[in-house]
Amino acid sequence: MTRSIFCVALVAAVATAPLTGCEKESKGGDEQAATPAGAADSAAEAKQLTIYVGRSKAMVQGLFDAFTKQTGITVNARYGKTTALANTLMEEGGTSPADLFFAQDAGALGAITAKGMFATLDPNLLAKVDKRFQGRDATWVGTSGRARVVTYNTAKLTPADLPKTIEGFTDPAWKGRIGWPPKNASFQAFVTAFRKLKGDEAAEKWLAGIKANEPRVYPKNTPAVRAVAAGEVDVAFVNHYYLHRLKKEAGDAPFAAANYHPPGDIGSLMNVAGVGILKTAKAPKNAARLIEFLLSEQAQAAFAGKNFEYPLAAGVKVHDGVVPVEKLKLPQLELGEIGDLQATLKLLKKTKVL
Amino acid sequence: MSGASAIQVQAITKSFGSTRVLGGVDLEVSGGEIIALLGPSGCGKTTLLRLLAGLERPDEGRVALDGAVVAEGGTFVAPERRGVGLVFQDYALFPQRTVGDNVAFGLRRLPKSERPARVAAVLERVDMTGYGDRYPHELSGGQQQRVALARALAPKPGVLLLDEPFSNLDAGLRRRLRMQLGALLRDLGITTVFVTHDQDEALGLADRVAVMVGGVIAQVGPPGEVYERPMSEAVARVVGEVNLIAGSARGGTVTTALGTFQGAGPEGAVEVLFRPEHLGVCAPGEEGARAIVSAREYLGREAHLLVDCGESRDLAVRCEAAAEIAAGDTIAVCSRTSSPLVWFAAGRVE
Amino acid sequence: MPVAAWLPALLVLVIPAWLFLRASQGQADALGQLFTGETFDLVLRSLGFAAAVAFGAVLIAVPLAFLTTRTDLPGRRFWAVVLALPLALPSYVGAFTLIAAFGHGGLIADLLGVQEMPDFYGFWGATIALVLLGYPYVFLPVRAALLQVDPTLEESARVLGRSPLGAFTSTTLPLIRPALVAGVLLIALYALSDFGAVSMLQFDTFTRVIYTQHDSFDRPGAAALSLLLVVVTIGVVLLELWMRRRRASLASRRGPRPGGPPLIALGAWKVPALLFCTLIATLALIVPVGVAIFWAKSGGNTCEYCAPLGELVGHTVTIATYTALAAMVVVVAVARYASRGAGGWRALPDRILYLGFALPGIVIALALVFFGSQTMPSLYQTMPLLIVALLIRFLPQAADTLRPAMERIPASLEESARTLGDGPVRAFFRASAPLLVVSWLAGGVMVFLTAAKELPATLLMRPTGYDTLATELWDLTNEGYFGEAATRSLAIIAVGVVPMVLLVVWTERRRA
Repeated sequence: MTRSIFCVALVAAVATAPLTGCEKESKGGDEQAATPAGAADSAAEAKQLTIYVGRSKAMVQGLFDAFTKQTGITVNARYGKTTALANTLMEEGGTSPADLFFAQDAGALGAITAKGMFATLDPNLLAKVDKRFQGRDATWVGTSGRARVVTYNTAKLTPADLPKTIEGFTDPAWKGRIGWPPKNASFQAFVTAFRKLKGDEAAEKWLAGIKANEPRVYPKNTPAVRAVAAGEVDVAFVNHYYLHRLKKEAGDAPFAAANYHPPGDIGSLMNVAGVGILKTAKAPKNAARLIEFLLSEQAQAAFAGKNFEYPLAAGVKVHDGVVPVEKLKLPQLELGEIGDLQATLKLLKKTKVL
Repeated sequence: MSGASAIQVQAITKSFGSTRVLGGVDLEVSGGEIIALLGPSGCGKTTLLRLLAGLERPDEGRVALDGAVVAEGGTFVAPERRGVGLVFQDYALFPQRTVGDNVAFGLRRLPKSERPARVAAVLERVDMTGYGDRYPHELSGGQQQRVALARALAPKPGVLLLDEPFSNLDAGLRRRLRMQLGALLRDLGITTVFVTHDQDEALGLADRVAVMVGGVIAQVGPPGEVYERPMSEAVARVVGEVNLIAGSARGGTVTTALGTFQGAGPEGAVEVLFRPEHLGVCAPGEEGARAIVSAREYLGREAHLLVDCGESRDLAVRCEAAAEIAAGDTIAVCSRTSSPLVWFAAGRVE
Repeated sequence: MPVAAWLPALLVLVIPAWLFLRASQGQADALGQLFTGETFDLVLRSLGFAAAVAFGAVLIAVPLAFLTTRTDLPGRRFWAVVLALPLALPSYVGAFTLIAAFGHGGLIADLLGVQEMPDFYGFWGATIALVLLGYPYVFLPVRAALLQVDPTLEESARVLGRSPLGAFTSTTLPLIRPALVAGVLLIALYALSDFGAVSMLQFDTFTRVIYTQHDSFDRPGAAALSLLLVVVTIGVVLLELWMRRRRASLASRRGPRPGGPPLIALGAWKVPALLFCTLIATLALIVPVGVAIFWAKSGGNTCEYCAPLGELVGHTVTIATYTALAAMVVVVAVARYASRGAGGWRALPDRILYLGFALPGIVIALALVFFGSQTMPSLYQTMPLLIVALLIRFLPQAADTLRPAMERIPASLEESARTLGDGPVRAFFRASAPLLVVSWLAGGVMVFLTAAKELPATLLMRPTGYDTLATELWDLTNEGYFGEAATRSLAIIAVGVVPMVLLVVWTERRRA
């Protein structure tokens, strides 16, 4: 009886062993790249890059494939949650196998910068991108941005009806007309930016003020925007691209919503996705080439076209309907500073928003 | 090594935590001898048995089997190497295996071709031929016991150890199996140590009885010696029923209410040991001690009385079943023995 | 053997060591934050939550175990399989589908045309979700115990005048207490360590707060809180040990009776019993699966860069199988060492393992990231280290099922084997092991199921590019590809169903 069980277990182990063999081969490739690290020549640099990616595979894998096709450099992309990857990098420290970190969010990039783990980027590389969308001391560069907006129902409102600042929405006239997704990460990042720019007290005041206007709570951005178009609420505090996505989905059907960027105010904050080269990079020159590619017209057009994001490299046009960057008056804020989620959550709980 | 005893135990002590279970035990068992470890629960007899098997290590002392030391200080021979057979109180038959497989369990060193023959032979010995394909749960208690015995005997061990072999069986079965077992063991000539708290078992089956009280062997000797000449009251109680009657001793003679007797023991005020069969109801005309019956138990073959006689309470007296004596009656108690008696100093002797 | 038993425990102890390291790196207020009223609330809330989930699970699992092993419930084998299946559901999927079904604007609301649905979030929602998803943790060990109990004790009670049910409660129920306590411990720690459900249902337990702190890059704070969780876990485990000491060992004299224990006739209770089983199966299994199928059908966009389903299934099965096999090997030494003493020092290695089960996957993963990348870079981000992480996480499940079974076996069986010539190891395998197979396999299956659906540790420790159903599922959900996500969820469930079915069928066959 026992014998037969051991036999089964043994067979199972043997049968699955080849599968480990398969993936070990690809890992073996990685190891080979590690050994000639001593050589400083870019010519001797391995044609392999390891990049930790906090963005979705569907979004960026295509770009990596295109890069590989063009340059012959393989990209080993490790997908995961941006914050988890950042924590992983910090744990790995000096022995990290990663060459680059491609984050969804500037806060994560700021955390890595604070640990001194990023290498300084070539100024030529950075020239394309506005200084506002770069890391302190050229540690990272933004690849695409997303703006906070107030999406409003076009059937009931015009831009003139909307307050100039986001604080304006605390006016009791807006009671019952606002929708927001307080659980959403972008919203929380926005609140963090608010706190950093204007201080905790002002942030608390704003949250309390909006809460007093009995906003409708949505689990995510998409249902909030849908609600605006349907007339359920008049305005929603979301990211800019949802409107465009949903409009595209609706096709020819009417979609009664538009974006409003409160001028010069935290309300139109631009958060960025960005990339940096780690000091532990084994192929820094190839890594720079990848960044160059991500800032190239091809990649930037992809960000703009597929996802309606803001391309940050100069000279690339936004998608139709998206308000160009130049027309936005963005707040003055060091984007790397918005990583302090914990205090934000405390505040959200305190004001009973969450 | 001829002349070496089959089992030799010297100065064994064993404690579990803060409880001292064996406090200095010495024992020698000759080859082919059947020896009983008799004592009340907690006296350490099972622990001693387990020490012989190698399932426990002694704290101090030495154990030798057939002249070879198996436990002493740093030396310790594991159970599987001692060539000792052990039958547990619960028989411990492997429930997933057939009788045949159970018996064959310890035959790994035997060539495969010889195993069926050995199994068959030993099953026949215990009168369980034909049961090879049954499972333990299909057998009665007595049958299980025999299978357990067969299993222990199959590898031809040098020593056989039995832990309360009959305690799980009913009374009628016990006596019959006891005699069968005795015959079998003598036939095999195998050195046997068995543990029991039942005095009938010990006296009936063993060549020698080691009486254990409080973690030591208080007395060891043939059944007759242990029963008729116990060295202390405690031993006497373990081996049989005890009646103590006050008396006064001088030289080799003691005087009691029941008369004067020869025997051995200390001088002065003593308590004399009478077994129940030493006491009876006086025949008409006989002089005896006056006693009041406090209880009567009819047992078919005889009746047992509990009587209060003078200062002695609850003396156990045998009488004929037919005798019409009831509780509350006054009777005369007479001695029914002429053999030498034993007496102990008066006062509590443990 | 002590070495073999202590090795896994020492491995687990690496985690608290790392936590100390991290916690001390922050400013003093990392450890200082532990002594606030807020933290105290968190401890109480988490403990209360764990207790509530455990209580609910016992309420469901024990009757179900009883019904499927000791009564003449129709379709017992079917129910035995179905009722154990919720374990195959990842908690985030389960919670998500429960919301989708019962929440505002959910399927049930649509079906019934009801506007107002009770608020599913918070304490009660999370409790219900985890009870429904986690009760198999109690169901499986109790079932295994009931199948192995010596029936003669009940028979004696019957002869002494008890009704069938009375005999069961007075004799058998106390005998399965070790298994029950083991299951309760498991589900309580599961409740403490779960992230998926509580995050979705917005309930702040230790784990959720630890994750939040990681998201804020407050690693010292997260480490300090994790240490507190370690302390709480130790407290819970000590409580369990203390409870066990008060009971003498109740090893049965005889093994299980082939043919199974006697069945109790349900009579008029058959219908309510069936209804109960159906209700639980519906809530815990059919609703989530139904929602998943619904989502899978209503589709959504196809995902261009998703790995083919077959490859994901292969990866998932591989990881789960290795982990389960490793667990089954390691657990023998640990459980045996623990079962042969009466608590005390020998139980330690076994109990230390629970730390692995109580800590959130991300903590274990980051600790191993640290040690892996620093001390053994060639093993870092490879399969072996991932298996180690999953082993640390899930070994207690196997130990918890095996240890009570070991305790039930009388020592005399192995001792007999010793006197018959077997060395200690051989004696174990020949005498005790055949009686342990069912529990051993049940533990292995549990590890397989949980390893297959694990997410946070797998995400961090997997070899780059080696995705599982769970990691892909997470990615898809993030991107809103709900249709594809649902397919992956169904695949995870399917992967869990197969070994579950095999186990139950095989268990039943041995009874015959």
